[in-house]
Amino acid sequence: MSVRGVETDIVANMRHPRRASGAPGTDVPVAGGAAADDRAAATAALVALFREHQLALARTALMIVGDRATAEDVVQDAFVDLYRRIDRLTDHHRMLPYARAAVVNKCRTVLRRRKLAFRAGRTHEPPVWSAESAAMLGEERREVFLALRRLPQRRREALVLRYYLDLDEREIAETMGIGVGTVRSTVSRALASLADLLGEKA
Amino acid sequence: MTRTEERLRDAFGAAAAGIPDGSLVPLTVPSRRRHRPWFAPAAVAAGLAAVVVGGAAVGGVVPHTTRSGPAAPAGAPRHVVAIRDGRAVVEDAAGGGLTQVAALPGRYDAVAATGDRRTFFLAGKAGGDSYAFYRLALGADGKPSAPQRLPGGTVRLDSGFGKPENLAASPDGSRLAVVGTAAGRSEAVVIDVRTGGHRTWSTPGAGTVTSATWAPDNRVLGFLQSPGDASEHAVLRLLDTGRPGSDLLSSRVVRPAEVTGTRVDGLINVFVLNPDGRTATAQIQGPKHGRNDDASFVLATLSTGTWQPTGRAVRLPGDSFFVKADGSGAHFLQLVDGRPGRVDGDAFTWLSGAADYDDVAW
Repeated sequence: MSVRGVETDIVANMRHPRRASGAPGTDVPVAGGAAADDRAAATAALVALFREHQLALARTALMIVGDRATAEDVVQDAFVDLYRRIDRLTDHHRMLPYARAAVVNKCRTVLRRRKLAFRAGRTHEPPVWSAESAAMLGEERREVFLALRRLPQRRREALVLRYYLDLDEREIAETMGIGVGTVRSTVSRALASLADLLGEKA
Repeated sequence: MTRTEERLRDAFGAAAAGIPDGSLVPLTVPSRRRHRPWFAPAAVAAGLAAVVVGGAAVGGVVPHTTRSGPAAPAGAPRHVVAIRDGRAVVEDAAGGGLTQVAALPGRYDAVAATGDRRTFFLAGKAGGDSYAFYRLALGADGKPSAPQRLPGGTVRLDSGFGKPENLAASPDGSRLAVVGTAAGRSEAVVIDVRTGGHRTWSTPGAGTVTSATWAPDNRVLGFLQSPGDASEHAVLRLLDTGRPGSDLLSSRVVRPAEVTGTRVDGLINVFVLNPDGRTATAQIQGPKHGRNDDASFVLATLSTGTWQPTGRAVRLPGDSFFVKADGSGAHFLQLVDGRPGRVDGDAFTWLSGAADYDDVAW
């Protein structure tokens, strides 16, 4: 789902929390006012998070899905989902892990859809590992992306989270929704497979 | 940092520059709808549903609730000991799903079972890269004893505990095996549970050593060795721990990890020696196929006479790097991306929707 062109800016909602809460006027009951204040604070935290991490998350999505337009949409969609759940995001310190997990999940959805498109006979050529990208990245780097593309999806995700976002094992586990031990083995196996595909020592 | 890691970071850095700072569109969201007062009961119900569904929608961050599948087959173990997010818990597997019976104090990394359905061993960090080991016993109702630390000090393991298995308990519960790397050497350490005595087999530069498993004679230790040199192939080995010597590579190579055949084809990720002494069970990753390089995963039985596939091959839902047998060799545990499942006969079933399991044994 693309959210470009929709009518309300999240920043506007932050400025007008009662509009965001649906509470009209100024004579709002105390409990409603407190809820609106909580929502305003959560929205402000989400906006700040988006401003600070949009670029890194979009680049992360780019490594997984392969093209910029999809990566941007993935991050937009992930934040829209978070905004829709804003009332439940009471712990603002947990928003970044939620956002990372939401982005990774959206990437999985995109790749699943592409798989279906492929089965239906439609092709998709993600530009990061396409021949056209060789001019920008260089042939050596394209080789790395081509090898990455041959890894199972979860191994690819683990490598991106570890070597692009520099997350530790616990953060990766949280983002991917798997155990820490599984992260360790997944990264280790992914590196070994990648080294094998690139003809190098792990 | 290895050459592969360097190239990976370099490629990620270059690709990231494809989205320059300041070039992204700002976030926009749909406006919220106002709810009419008579929608309140429906909104409450929808809200409750959203809380339940939303937990899963966060993408595994919020653990799924435990769910029950069909009742467990007769003769299957009733209890498992699991490590969930660093905590050891005892869970009841009789109903098809997993229900918590007890939680143990302390933090742990791995669990191994002896197969008597009572005696379990836990590994937990003792500082730095060193690990201590603990024994616990379950009552018939699944209530655990307090974990007792084993004598004999700690074992250093740079590779830590992950999957495939680095920890295995002998069927009679007298010995623990720990495999991995320490100070650049591949190692297998066997701990005498009663005395705490350690015996170590090691070799420099032998790559990774994983998938520890004991033969029913409580003497032969099986493991998987993946060489550091990409030009060599991973192999399954058997180490006779009753013989003198300390060279890990003095162990016998029984077969390459690669299996080729029409029915079972792929790479062995992990294996266990079965209690019958005649077979082993291996988790095998098939060749990649399709545009997204999907792979199939099966649990296959190998003859320990010929080390060739024999009998069944049960299809698994994903990449598990994990298989643990019960004491009868008829029931196997699986962990797929942190989510537990079981294989009984020819069928795989999920044990839980939760995906925070680091390890589990029965």
